[in-house]
Amino acid sequence: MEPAPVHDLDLVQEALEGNQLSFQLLVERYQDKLFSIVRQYTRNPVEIEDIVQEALLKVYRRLDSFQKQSSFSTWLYRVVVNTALDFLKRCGRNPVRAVEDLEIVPENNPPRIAAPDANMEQEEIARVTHEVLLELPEIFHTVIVMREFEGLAYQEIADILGISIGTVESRLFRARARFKEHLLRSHPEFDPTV
Amino acid sequence: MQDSCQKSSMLIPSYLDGELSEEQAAPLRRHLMECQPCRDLAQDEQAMKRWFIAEEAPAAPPGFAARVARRAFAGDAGVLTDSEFALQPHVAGSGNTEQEDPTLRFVLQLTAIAAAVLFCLALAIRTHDLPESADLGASEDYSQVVEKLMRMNAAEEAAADEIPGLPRKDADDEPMNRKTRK
Repeated sequence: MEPAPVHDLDLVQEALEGNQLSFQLLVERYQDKLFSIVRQYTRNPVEIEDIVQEALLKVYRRLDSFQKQSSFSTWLYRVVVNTALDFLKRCGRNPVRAVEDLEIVPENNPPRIAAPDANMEQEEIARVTHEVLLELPEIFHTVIVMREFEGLAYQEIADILGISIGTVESRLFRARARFKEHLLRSHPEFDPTV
Repeated sequence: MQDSCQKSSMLIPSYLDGELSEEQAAPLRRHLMECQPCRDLAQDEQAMKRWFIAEEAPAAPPGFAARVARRAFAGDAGVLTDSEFALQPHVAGSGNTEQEDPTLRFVLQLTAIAAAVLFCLALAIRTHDLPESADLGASEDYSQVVEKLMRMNAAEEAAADEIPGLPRKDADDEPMNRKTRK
């Protein structure tokens, strides 16, 4: 019988008390998820590793300020996303900032888009999607990554970003509409109305 | 677009994400059964989701977690510092203390060591080249030294008188050109 997994908060506490192995266990527990999130911001494996490592060093430095009311993973994801965005800015690959009012009611007729061709390779689909996502404002990019790639619930996204569920819903709606617009602009062949 | 269609179009993404309560989802399902345009919209949304393929992310390299933990506990502040997180760094076992830049700390340590080595080297060279204090001290009385010198002079003069061709003492005092003319 395997021992019950140690809770994140216990590992955090042990790390704060100077137990390096506990912090290592926390990293091992989340490293795959973190690599996956950062993959949506850069496809360079070296940069992915650098960003994840940087985020984890930040997390350790601020471990004592972690508010234990929220989940450790929520806090960790927020730091990783911020680090990834910060990294893109430093590299001059500045993610577009949204200038519109996100709380306004989104348009009711977003553009239509066809599914990728059946003969398209998965890698090709992922490449096109990645290019389109990089053109989106960072707030749209981030909600799409969290929802579509990481499968996070609206409540989790709201907690990570510090916004309401209503804002998550509205932001996702706009993000998807923008995604379709940009995809059709660069790949008009996927317009089902043509 | 009818009001019910407008409302449905707003709910469809959340419905497909599984985020609607049953109270919200049931009327939407009924509407979709009856409304072709809204059904098309739902299908479009589904089609779009097929663009979001979760690629296999690169795996963390072996030993990644151990390396990060080691760096964190060594007080590594990282490279891509972020202003928010750089304000209150944390070092295990010491509470919130100001974190030095590890590179700067290394350079300062290296400079201090180099300065110490240079100082020791300079001292060693100086000590080696200087005469010992014993060499500098007068070992004999002045009168004894004068007496010794006078004895040596007398001996030299006597030897010069005995060797023919060797100039005598008084001739030594004359300038060389005068001796040549004689």
